[in-house]
Amino acid sequence: MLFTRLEFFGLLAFTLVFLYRVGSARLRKLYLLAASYYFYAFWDWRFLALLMASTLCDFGVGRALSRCDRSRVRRAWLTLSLVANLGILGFYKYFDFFVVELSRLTGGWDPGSHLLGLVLPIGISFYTFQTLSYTIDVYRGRLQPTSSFTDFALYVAFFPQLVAGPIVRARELLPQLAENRHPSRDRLFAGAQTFVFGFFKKVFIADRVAVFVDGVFADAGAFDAVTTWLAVLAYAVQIYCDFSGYSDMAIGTARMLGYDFAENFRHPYLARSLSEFWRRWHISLSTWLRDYLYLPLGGSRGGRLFTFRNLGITMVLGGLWHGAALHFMAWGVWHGVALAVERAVAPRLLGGASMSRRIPPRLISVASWGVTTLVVVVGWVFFRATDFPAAGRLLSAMVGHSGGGLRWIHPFAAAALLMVAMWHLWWAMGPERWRPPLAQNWATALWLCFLVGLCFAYPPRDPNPFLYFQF
Amino acid sequence: MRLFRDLLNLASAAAVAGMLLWVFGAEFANSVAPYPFDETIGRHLPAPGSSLRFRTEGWATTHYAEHGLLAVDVEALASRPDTLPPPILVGVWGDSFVQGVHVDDGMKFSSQFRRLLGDDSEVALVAIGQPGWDVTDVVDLVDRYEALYDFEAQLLVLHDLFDFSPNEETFVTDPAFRFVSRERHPPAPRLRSRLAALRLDFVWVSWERLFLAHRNPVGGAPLRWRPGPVPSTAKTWPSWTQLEEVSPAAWDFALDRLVGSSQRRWTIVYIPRIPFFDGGRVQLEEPAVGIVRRFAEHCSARGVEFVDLSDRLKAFYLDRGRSAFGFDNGQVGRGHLNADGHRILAEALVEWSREQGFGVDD
Repeated sequence: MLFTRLEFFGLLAFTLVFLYRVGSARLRKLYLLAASYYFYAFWDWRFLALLMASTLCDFGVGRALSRCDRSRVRRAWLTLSLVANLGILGFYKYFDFFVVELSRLTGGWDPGSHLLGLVLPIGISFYTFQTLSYTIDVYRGRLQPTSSFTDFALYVAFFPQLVAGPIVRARELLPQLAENRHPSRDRLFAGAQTFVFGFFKKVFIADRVAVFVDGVFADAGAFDAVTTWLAVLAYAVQIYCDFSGYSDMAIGTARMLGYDFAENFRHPYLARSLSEFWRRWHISLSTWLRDYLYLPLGGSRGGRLFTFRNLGITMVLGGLWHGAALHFMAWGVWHGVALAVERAVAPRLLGGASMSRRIPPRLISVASWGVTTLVVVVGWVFFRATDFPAAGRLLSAMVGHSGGGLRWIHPFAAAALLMVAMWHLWWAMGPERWRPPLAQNWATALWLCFLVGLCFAYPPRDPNPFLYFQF
Repeated sequence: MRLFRDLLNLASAAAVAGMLLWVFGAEFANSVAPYPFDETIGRHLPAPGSSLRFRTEGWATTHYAEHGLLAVDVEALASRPDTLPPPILVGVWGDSFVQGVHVDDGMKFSSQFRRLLGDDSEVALVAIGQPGWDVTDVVDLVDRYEALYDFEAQLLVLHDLFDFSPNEETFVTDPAFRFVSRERHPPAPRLRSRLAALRLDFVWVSWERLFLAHRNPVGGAPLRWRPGPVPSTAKTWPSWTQLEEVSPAAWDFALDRLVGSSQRRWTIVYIPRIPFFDGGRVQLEEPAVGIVRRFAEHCSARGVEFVDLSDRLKAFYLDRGRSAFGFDNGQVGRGHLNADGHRILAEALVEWSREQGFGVDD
């Protein structure tokens, strides 16, 4: 179920009324669990079995870990969870990819008859990472396993974050579920406000910009350099507004229901280094990769080459997490290499005393921002392109070698670019938080009503599903 | 009390936001044209004297005269000096390409045609087209418009050949080829008229998107509460191969119906999508150029002239580096004819008029 569908608003309204009217904490949680399963089944009820299997497996492993002290047995339980979860994810998401790539590498055989053509269960990448984080945290002794199956099942399936994140850690949500939270008027208004901003970003900006981006990327190479650059920048806007819009809607919905999620985006295009970018972009994924992959690999505790290797592995796997395709892998490699270069070069280039004496810090800051943004934006070419040849055509067009040379300056895409740039700039200069309570601030209420009105009165021609649903 | 204050705040804020949207919409939103039922034509058509401001694709305003005709065509006929003989009238039929709401009245092909020939030209075009019309509508309505205007010739503008292939809605195959007369009712015509009168265009757009055709806030599939999966109901267009298999017999049937619908001679003006994008490569030949050539032969066999704009569109792209299709705020290279496209069509029709010997002075 999409957050932008009428059915979702119906479900949300019913859920809010239920939570407000029913006093029993157990009933409220059971209702939320049922609503979450319905939310998931709305797409395809058959895949509920996978969600439930993952839930049962990790709840069981968590309980087993809590009762066992022997490290070998504990490791066996953890391995069981890893194999089960990553096995399901790998089978559905990567089986066909590996068969195709294997046939390409070994050559000469047709992969067609070996392909399964499986439908990727929606949200599987997200809930698999959630359940894994629970098991690993329990294994590491950083989290007490829950004894309530309802709480755990709700943690995995809680509908605001079920299909496209944010990837909420068990240690964030399980205590809230145990607390027996109740929706309140202030939370309702604050949540609604966050939701509306997300809705606006998705429906009014991302879906409208998509018309331009899809047009140029579909015919990569037919347009001139200016158009291609604008399209790549517009894609940076689209994916930000689409995904951060979804995250805002998820966070807002959870807040309306009485629960708090951490923020998932922190104005990523303000970053002045790639490592800072990853602290601002899809924070729940980047911190997951850091805590459960990069640091266990050794992080930066070894030598420089060791660190580069770990960065490379983390970013390549991060790229593959987004999709089973070589261009996602290339995107990961691009970021991995760029992070390694940044670690190797930046301290020498910017940290020297002579350099800081010669160049004003503000100029260094602007230059760092420019280079970071350029690397991120060029990286989006690999991310968005359908394959390598298309990425190649786009990059060629960006440097002025295009076959077509059509010029297309989409006015809304240009305006959206300006709007997002100003929003980032305002945030860079403005206060850290701007969330006045809705009902106490008439101007805020007016502004939100206007944003909602814009979404309805100026709908996009072709609504797009959320980009991150495909991951 | 607190709840009442909150609701009051929200309601007043929503009202002011609505007013702001109303002001904003006066320039940036599509307007809503009332579609009353036209007794003479037997269809819901844009009300005489109404206008449509179109912002979704292109940035233009279209004014309507009676029977859904373009005001700019009707006014040109009405303002013709009495000293001049009545012009030779040519009806130009088609769909949204002919209605051309994407370009301003002065840039539509019929206006550009007049400009190319001068005000005292002996031939005038009357554009007769509504979005979604196909050859079945043309066959159905041609005698009604011929009762109003004494056309000397009839033109049908096509931008693909799907009109001449069965669609199982208006052009069915079972048990034999058959045209089914059917009006595509505009949704909620009364509400539309009322909102148009109140200039509440943005309310109409919201309403249309939200509730009509069971649309959702951002469009999409019909409302449902049952869990999925839902089989896809997306309409699939026939491939060129399928078109080729079924086409010859269907073409002949449809062409016979077209020819039989009017005493006047028919000409088909074909506007292929050139340049055509193919995975980033710019193609200057249609993929189905062979099929189109065969269709033209079928037309010729039935006395229907076939005017192909391929060479003009190709030359325009090679000369100017622009496409005659699409708009910056829509999709460049796709969609409807832009002002350049309308001019290319007008130039082709001027040449066609000369070939017909419609008294066009050189």
